Amino acid sequence: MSAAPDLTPVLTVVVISFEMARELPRTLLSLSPGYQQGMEGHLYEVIVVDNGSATPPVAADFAGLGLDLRVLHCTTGTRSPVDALNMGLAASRGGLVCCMIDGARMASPGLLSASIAASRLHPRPIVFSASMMLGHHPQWRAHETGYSAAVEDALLDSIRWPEDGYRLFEVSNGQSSAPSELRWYAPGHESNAVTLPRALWDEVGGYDPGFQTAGGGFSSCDLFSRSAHLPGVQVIVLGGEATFHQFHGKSASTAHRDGLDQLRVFSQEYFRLRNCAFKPVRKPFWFFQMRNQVLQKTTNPTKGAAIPPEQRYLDLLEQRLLNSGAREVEAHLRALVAVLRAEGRADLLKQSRAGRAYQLRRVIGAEQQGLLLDPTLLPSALTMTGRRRLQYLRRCVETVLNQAIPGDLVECGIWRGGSAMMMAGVLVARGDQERKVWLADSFEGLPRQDGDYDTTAQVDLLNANGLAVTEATVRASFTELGLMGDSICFLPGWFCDTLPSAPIERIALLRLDGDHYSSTMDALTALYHKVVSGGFIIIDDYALQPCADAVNAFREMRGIQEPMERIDQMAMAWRKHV
Amino acid sequence: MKTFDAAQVQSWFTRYLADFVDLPESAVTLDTTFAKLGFDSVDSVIISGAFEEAFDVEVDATLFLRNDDLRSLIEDLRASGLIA
Ligand SMILES: C[S@@+](CC[C@H](N)C(=O)[O-])C[C@H]1O[C@@H](n2cnc3c(N)ncnc32)[C@H](O)[C@@H]1O
Repeated sequence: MSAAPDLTPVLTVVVISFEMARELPRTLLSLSPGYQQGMEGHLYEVIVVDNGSATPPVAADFAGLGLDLRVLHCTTGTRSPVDALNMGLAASRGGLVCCMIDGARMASPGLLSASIAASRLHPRPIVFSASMMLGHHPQWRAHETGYSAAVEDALLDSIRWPEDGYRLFEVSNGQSSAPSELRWYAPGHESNAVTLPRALWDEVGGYDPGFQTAGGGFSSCDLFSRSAHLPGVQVIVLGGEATFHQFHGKSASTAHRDGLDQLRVFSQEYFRLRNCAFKPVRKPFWFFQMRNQVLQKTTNPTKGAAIPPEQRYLDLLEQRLLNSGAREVEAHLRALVAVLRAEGRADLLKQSRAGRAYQLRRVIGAEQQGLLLDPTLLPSALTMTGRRRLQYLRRCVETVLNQAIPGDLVECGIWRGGSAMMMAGVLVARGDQERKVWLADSFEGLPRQDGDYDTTAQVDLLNANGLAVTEATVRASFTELGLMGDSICFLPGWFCDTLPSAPIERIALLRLDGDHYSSTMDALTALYHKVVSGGFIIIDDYALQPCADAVNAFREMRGIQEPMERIDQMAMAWRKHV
Repeated sequence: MKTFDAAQVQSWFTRYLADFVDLPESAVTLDTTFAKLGFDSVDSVIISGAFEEAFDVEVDATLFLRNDDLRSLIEDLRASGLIA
């Protein structure tokens, strides 16, 4: 005797769409067998219920995804997704049903298999997953942060989505940025992907058609709360899996600028229908986690993995810019020894032996920390900023790329160019060909006047001992390191003359290293307004009083509230919010 | 303009707020500060919405933000003429 194979899907995913031509393809890709992990042995189906889009999605358009997909059309004509959800529930065949009220949400790669595995742990399970938002700031602040569909596309490109769907956690915000770590795990008000056995969906009666505000108001919170309070059920929260909200104009509540007004309308509707307080589910819950990708991603992304070539390259560049190899320095020293011998002053060499160990420690220490030992003894490296500041700069540029912060990279005060070379190096390593690196400098050293102050005495000494570096020298170093190209733009001249008219549109990173009050103030005045939201401002010389005075005065004048972060004993930085 | 009775408003708030934070009604008095109940600005909008629905009135969005406890909130409503 052979029984007919059971073709009942183990799981149905119901996805509601409304005018989501841009977002739905990604959502469906994220639910497809090629992306979802651990679903090989499971039959599952996806039902898209379109809620009245002008041009509804067509199943054939997604044929390549290998999904068991149906597209239904809800024609009740309401702006609330509730009817569409109930329609999807009625059409579903799976033993478990996962409802996604917002078709603009992409899934993490283990969402479906974890939902199935978690539901097997209890006879009456309510499986809850976290809701995240793409972007590094809440999407409802897009009007301040400049977040847009284009920024989001670039963000997704930056993590090479859909290569490794868990990397979505790197470019999104939500629970994990909640004030308490525990918030990550707590079930809260609602889930945008909630899975219940079909019998529980029947018992709870689906979504309440009473919720008729656009986007469904609190219908999804209401569903979660009512099901979590059914007798004998167990709420199970999925760890390490989530859905990720894509930016779109049609989303409910939180993604809106007028979110608070909407919230009030939702609350009125909820009170009218339920006559009780609107609050999160506060029942004991189980926590279920199958994979720890997310932990790895958020704690130590590179641990255990092979070091990627771009990182190797940048590590090497760092060594080179800091001149840690120091062959040339040794050569200089041997040359000095040769000179002294040739001049018959070997006695000086003998004398110097006693103090040498001590002086060597001072020199090396100062160079590593980016401090000047003496105005006549500039370091031998291509940058005088030291390791901490150079690494900080590298991380900032990497962050700019990872987070798709738009704009160019600018340094005011170049000297031999090491810092600017690091900026260029990160762009090269990451294959960025869009952004420019702007190099502003007199290329003849510090100005003698700092506003009303005559600084001739110190400045002449510094300039004569190597602070003045010509543009040709800097260009030659860029060329030597293979970093010269069209994206490297020189702005030769005094800041006050060159910066106000510099053809720079937007700045993602502004690095100021001009030492003087006037140099710092001139650069801030000419360029600060071009720094985009999320952009970095690095002040190299904050430990120098004139520079700190300029920065403090400027921040006060412009009402800049963003906190400054200390990089090392010299430098500070902050990140522009709005 | 509609007006309400202070006792009626107080008892509504006591019941709603206690429900909101899952505490017995006795835990919410005229002097319990909203901060102590853990309300943030989003909560205050939600509570205002429910109040508006229950009493069929419109209140200022800042009603909760500018009052620290039920006593001052009721005084505030009295000053605006909503409570007789
Ligand atoms: C401390 S050095 C820069 C160090 C460099 N950023 C590094 O990574 O080693 C200061 C530079 O600022 C330039 N500079 C200072 N004030 C300036 C101004 N007002 N206009 C143009 N260049 C200026 C000097 O020529 C000098 O090259």
